[in-house]
Amino acid sequence: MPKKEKKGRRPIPNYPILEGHVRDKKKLIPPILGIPQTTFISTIDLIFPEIVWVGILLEWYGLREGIEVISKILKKLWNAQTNVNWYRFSEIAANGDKLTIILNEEELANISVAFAAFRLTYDWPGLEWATSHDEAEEAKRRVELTVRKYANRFDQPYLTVVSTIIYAMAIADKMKFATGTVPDIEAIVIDWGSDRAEMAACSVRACSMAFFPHDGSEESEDWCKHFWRKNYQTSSCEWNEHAI
Amino acid sequence: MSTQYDAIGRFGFRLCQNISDNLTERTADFRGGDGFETAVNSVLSTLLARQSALAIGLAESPLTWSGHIAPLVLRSMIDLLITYRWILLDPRQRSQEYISYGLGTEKLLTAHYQQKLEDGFEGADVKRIMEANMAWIESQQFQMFIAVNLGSWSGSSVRKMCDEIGDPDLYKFSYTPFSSCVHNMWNHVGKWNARTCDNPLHKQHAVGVIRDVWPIVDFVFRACKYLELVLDEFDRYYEYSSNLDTPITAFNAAVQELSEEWEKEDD
Repeated sequence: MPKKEKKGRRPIPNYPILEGHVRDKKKLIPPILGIPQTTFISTIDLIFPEIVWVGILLEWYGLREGIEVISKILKKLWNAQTNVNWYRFSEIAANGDKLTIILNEEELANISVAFAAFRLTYDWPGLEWATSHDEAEEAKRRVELTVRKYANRFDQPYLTVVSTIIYAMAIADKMKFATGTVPDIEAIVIDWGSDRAEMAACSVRACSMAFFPHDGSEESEDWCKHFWRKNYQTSSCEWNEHAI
Repeated sequence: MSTQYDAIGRFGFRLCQNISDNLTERTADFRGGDGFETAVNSVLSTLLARQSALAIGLAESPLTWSGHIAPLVLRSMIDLLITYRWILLDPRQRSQEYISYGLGTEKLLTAHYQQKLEDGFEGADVKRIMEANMAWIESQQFQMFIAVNLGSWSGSSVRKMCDEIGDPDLYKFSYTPFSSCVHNMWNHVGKWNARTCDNPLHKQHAVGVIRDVWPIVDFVFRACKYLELVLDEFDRYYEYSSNLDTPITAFNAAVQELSEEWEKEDD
């Protein structure tokens, strides 16, 4: 399939922009905001900090091996404790004691590089089990490079993280797909830029929205807020010289 | 560079001269219309002067020809155009309402100052303002006979006024876009005073900046256009015709000259 050129701007919709909008006093509500029993959350605010640890491991091991390591560990964790959202950083940190019981030394060591980096950079509790040879500066750099690479949810790296989690959930029987609806994750990895990959990306994003619930409690947001506040304090603003 | 600078100065001066001439011709000892309808004649004449003042204010100040400042002036000019056309649908009634509203607003402001002084505020300036306001009000009507209108002066919204004058596009495509600038809304500030940080660790926050742009002559054209539309309404009502260049004609000639002088300097 021919690869599409990346365009700088989204095209104008080929349907009336206000189509389907419902008037509510002085507001025109678009159809998507009228879906009942639906909460909208920000991916960058409340999901990305929870899954960026996957990016660190994908960088450390490489894509294929990284997916293997992560999915095996998540499967083991879910088999032992099915009601914990093990893919979420905040849940891993909150269940550090259970983690050290369920996983053996080698398995803990396999994921330590990521969680040690977070421990050193963000001083977040529950990660004492994670050890690493990284000094604090190196750990910070590791996290920073991962955030820079994986933050764009429309780009390939982020989608490989989400795909890894979906794959892990699927092999742990936490997620099932009807025939013909399995996202073509391979297309994201090997055929990025093609129509096939774009369809797979939409599928993966839709899956992540359905399967990454946010309970809205203060505790669940604590980590995400801490993550971004620390990043904001410890790095400077940057400017693209050629931007208008 | 100084020649180009001078060329801009001459450009602005030519336009201001044309605007001033067009106004003077229609206001200096102008006795068109019905001499009995004082309110109508006063309102139409003074609003024309106001529109001319706004146009001159813009034309003579090249540093205002940017998205930061020009829309503030232009939105006021569009507002005036809408008001002018709307008054002309029922000039006797509406010009009186327009005047009454202004007197009532000034009366309310004066009452607020009065309350401030009674509450113990010490300010000789406030007392002087009060006295000046009251003198201005009572030069026209005893304040005890003036009602204070707390709603809109027309009893209608600007959008409905535009519907009534038969020009809804004026509201949608002229008034509303510039309103964002006037009210410092995000769809203005987010373009003219925002720069997106490229650090992904900062979640693409916007940082305040003043966009630096070269003066945009099109804003001056807009000012000439909205002035000319009011002149047209004035001339139509009073069945008046002038031999002077219209503001747009003057603009086209002036911008042609500016362009030639500019290119000469570049060469």
